[in-house]
Amino acid sequence: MAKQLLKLPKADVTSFDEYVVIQINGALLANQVTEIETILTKDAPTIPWIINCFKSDQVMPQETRMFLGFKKLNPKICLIVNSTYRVGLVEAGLSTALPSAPSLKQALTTVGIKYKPKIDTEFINPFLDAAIRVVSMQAGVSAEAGKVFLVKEPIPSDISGIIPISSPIFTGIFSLEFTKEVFLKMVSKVFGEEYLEISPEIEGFSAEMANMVYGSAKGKVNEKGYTLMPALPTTVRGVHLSSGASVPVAICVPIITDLGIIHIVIRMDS
Amino acid sequence: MADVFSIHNKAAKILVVDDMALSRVTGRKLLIELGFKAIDMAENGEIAWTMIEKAIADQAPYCLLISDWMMPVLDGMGLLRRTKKLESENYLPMILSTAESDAGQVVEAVKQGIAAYVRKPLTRESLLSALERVTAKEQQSG
Repeated sequence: MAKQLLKLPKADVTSFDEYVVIQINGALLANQVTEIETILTKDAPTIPWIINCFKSDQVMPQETRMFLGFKKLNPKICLIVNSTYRVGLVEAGLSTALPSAPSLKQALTTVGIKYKPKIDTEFINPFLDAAIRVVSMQAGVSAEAGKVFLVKEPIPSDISGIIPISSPIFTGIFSLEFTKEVFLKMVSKVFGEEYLEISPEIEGFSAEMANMVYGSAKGKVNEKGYTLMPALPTTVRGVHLSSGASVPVAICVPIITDLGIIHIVIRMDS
Repeated sequence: MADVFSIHNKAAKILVVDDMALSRVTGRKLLIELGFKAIDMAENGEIAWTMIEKAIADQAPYCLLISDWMMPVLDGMGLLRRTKKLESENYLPMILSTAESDAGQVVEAVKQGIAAYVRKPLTRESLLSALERVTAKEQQSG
């Protein structure tokens, strides 16, 4: 269970069952570093500390001093870094002193924890809230969430807005799926004219709705340490691979509106 | 010469730029609800830039740009850079319209000089607030 221990303008600390993630989003002041150290040594002195600086491209001396300071307090640390930052660590001769990995999964392995990825309510709820808000605002209809279920057979879908999920923690696909009937009703309502067929002119509607939901949820999800990357939406016609028995794990939440049901599907590949 | 944008000037020419029809239509609809009458739409930054140049040549320049950031051909950043090079008499403030909830994109856009930003999905209140911010800024600088 995740628990936020500290939130600063450019950093936050979240505790999980077996480890802590320190998310770094920019340069920190000395007193903020002390604040992080205090909370870590008080609330999580012995479990591994994972420092997520995946968004950083440049190894900064002040930052590495801070990480080395963390290591003195707890030797079980690992940074999550991108390839540019990794090269910077090697060039600065710090790659041994500061172990790093490109993903949470590998970072946890580095500190001796077996990674157990999960899509839980903490991850799903921001998507759900965003979907309800976007659908009700854009289409001017009432919308509410139905019961969450694991996808075991294809979901009826004629058109979907799809966004690849890319994060150091896992990859997958987020999709917003419409039947033709619901899609046409919704587009007709939004654009103020009646559409009887899905045409190239209107099919981008699904991708843009998905984009708004994903964009809105991403900030909330990232506050919890998932580090979802920006991604471009696409439109897919027909039933697609985010539904069905052949996919690894996919969960679905129906959004019930006045115009019919839309399905949110989150598929996890790794 | 472009009029200084003011929320009270309902004749102000506004250009809504977005590659997604939904956002263009929503933006236009809300602006009409707010009383604006001269609203054009463009699908990407390049088309918008052509329209901006033509409007200046026709001596009927736009007063405000409401633009998405991530677009094909020419994105919001590219469009903003071009508008920053306009003569001061044709100065064109931009409101960034974004689905991104992470602060990074907005911070970058603010650094580049946007006048305000609004999150998608657009609502009457959020758009009104952004228009008010632009009006206040224009009054301060004018």
